[in-house]
Amino acid sequence: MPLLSRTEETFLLAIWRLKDNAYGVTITDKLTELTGARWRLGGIYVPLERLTKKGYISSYLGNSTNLRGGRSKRLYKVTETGLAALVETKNMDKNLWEDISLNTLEEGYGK
Amino acid sequence: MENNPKKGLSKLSLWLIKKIFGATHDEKVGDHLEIYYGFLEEKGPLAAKLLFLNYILLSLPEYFTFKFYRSASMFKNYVMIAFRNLAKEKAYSLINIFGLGAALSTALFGYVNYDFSQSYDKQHLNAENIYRIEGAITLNKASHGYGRVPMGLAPRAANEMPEINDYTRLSRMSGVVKFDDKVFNESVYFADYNFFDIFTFPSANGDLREFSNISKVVITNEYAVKYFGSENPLGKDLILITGEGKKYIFNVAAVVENIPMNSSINFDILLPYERYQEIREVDDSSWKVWSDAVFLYLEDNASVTEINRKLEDYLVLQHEAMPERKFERMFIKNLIGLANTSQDVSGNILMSGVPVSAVISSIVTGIMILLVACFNFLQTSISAVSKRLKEIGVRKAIGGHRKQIVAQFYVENFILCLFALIVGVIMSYWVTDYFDSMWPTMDFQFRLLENPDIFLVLAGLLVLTSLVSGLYPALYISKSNPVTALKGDKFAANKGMLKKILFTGQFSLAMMTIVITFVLHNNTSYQQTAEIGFNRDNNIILPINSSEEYELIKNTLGSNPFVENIASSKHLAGWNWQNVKMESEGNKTDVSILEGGENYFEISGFKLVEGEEIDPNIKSISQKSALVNRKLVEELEWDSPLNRTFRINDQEFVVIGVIENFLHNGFWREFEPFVFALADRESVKFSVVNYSNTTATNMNDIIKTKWKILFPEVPYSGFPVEEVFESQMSVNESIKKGAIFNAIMTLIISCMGLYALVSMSVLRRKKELGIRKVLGASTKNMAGIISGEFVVMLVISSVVGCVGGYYLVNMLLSAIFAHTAPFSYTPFIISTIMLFFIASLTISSHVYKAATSNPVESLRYE
Repeated sequence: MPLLSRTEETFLLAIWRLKDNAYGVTITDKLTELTGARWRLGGIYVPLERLTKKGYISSYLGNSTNLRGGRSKRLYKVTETGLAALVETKNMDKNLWEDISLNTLEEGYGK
Repeated sequence: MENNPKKGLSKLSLWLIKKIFGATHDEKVGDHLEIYYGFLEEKGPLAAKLLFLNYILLSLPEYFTFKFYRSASMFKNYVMIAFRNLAKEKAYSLINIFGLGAALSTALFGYVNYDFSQSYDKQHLNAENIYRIEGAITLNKASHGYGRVPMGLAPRAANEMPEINDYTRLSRMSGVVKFDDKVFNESVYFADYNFFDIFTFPSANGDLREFSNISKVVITNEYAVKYFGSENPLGKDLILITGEGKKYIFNVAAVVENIPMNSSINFDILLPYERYQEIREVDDSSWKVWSDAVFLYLEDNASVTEINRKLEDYLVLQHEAMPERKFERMFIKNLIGLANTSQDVSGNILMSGVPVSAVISSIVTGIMILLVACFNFLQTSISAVSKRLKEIGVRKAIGGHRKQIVAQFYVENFILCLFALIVGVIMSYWVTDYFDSMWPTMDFQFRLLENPDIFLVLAGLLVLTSLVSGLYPALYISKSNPVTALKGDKFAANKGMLKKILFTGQFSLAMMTIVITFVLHNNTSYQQTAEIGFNRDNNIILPINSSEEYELIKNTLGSNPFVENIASSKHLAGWNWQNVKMESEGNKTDVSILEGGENYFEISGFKLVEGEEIDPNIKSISQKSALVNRKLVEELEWDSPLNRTFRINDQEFVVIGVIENFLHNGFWREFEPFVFALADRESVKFSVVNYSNTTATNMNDIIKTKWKILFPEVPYSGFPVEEVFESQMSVNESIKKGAIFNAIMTLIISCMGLYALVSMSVLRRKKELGIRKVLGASTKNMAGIISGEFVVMLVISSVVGCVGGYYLVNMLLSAIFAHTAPFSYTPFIISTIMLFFIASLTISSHVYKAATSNPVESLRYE
């Protein structure tokens, strides 16, 4: 399985954390919260489509509210493939960071 | 507030997000609205409006990326579906790709031809400031430019007009050029020393600045090899022997690259003008001697009209110095564009460009063939689309947008055209080569990589053909109502008329090209065999320098069994003559005079209409005998031409006979008034040997052997007279070949279209034909039913094609020739038969298949 990119990883985790309530607005909010950068709706649609195409997430139409002008939500869910990719990334991360503490990185090569 | 969700939302914002996401992405519009209501709850209506607008504006770059991503993936879809469709209809796709490709290649050749005709003399860096001086004269009532001007004109004008920076003159002379044992007759050119400062000819070897004194010569690469082989030519000595037998030695100063074919100035050996003046014993102040071409190098902002006006001041001098050829005006012409007008200039030594008529006709035929192919494309795609009506209906029923369907069709057309373009480009190399080999003086090259313009033309052609050919199916079909489309056949039935018009248009065009081909063919055969008024067969021409040489030749060859007759002459019919002014009864007329020597009248076979031949034994100095042609008699309105007298250059002539008109200038020009007189014994320049019972080559070889014994010093330069006419014949042959090529191309393309059309028609009427068959229609009946509609259209096409072709070919022929074959019905009849024959061949296989097939096959449901 090909490795996830950082964006993919971030998106998948945000959607995973949102459980059954992952749609446009909540995803932007979650991303803003997680990354600390300001995310807007315009920026998330293309990555979402790419993830769908790759089979990491799936989507279905959900309920609508008056607040949405009667328009339904498109809710996203991480698929089995997406979960497997996340697990693999997590494992790799563990290997990558093993024996490296924040302190050693901050000290640099100097000492 | 929540009851009216859009309340307070800025119209601009709503419009923007709807525009961006459209109806297919409803949930995304919903997401945005939710953001807006979030602002509304927190900050109140006014702030929400502003905040939301701000939000959208900040997101614009992201929206842009989104749009781009969407259309790219849509396009990918269209392309994929397009490929599937094209692969499903292989025959249809291949017919269109190759038909359009072939048409594109002829259209591209039209462009190559045009491009070449426009490329003349662009190599010279100063071209914009270089002008040639021409005189204006009237020849046979038509105004012509005259390429020669007095030698003294340019030096004087340059001295008196500050806007003339510099000038350079060219003169041509024939002579013998010799290096060791290599001796050739050459046409050598002389030019002023600054020739290479004004004109740009790249040096291949040596420094062109060395061309600076009276004993230097510059030669082309080709001639360096001709004379010196692989040796270094620089510093070697070439010897020029003039007609008078004087010898001059020239030292090779530099070698230039071979002169490209798109150059007006075309020299092989260039000598200093100073030497020319020495040979002719004249100098810069002389007005009595011509320079063959004179170029001025002007200041950047010099006014052409001003210079033309100032040149008028020199007319008096010119008239005084050359009373026999008085200019009416003098004017200057820019070097760029000069080649395109050169062929109408008398006394011209420069190369002529592609005739305008040739450029126009190749562009017109190219466009015509392209049109035929587009008709074809339109035709076949409409037919193919009627098969896809169900697909379109289904697409619409499940919510496909019109835009998407239009896009789908355009993408399909575009891909077809792209393939056609690739085929066309590949074929272009071949087509250009073919035409290039046909015209030896033109250099047609299809240089894709060197010429970025071609890419622009290609892109233009691609977009144009795919737009035009795809317009109808894309727009009409996508507009159709899904219900009617799903119901089936109605659409196809409605569109029958349009298809018929297209078909008729296409075959009319095809018929036109066939008619043109046959008329041209007819004309060529006519011109090859037509009476030209003098004998051009079985004669060999030997240029000579004196009547003594003629006597020697006559004595040596007279006993040869093949030789019938030997003549001497000053001029040669159909090759050279002299334009003079004739004064008779107070009127001055432009005529041409042909002076023949001993036996020349007989050997050239002029036909005497009335009067008698000139008796060479009657010699009177005060009054010479002359024959005139019928054209001259008509022009001067002489009732009884015999015994009339006239003067030419102070010599009095008396008319003793009238001869038939002859085509002295091929079929290009009208008959012109001619005077035939006896040449002075000393002025003869040619000897003509008439032979029989042998071939031209054999006779030429026999004479060559004798010549070497008689005149070992002089290179042999005799040639069969047929060679003189070869250029006319080869032009004719080339026009014919070009026309045949075009006709075959259109026929192939049209028949491809016909084939596709008939197969669609048979397919559409499959059930009808099956029922007819079951009800007892015979094979003959069936064939009649299927081909009936096509026969009617073919008849209309052949009538339109015959009439259109008749007018077009007459236009083409009259632009090229003054004498053409008389009108005949044969080409039209042959063309019609051919069209029907080929069309019925194309139709018959389908008809046969449909008529003999088992009706069960076609009637079985689905």
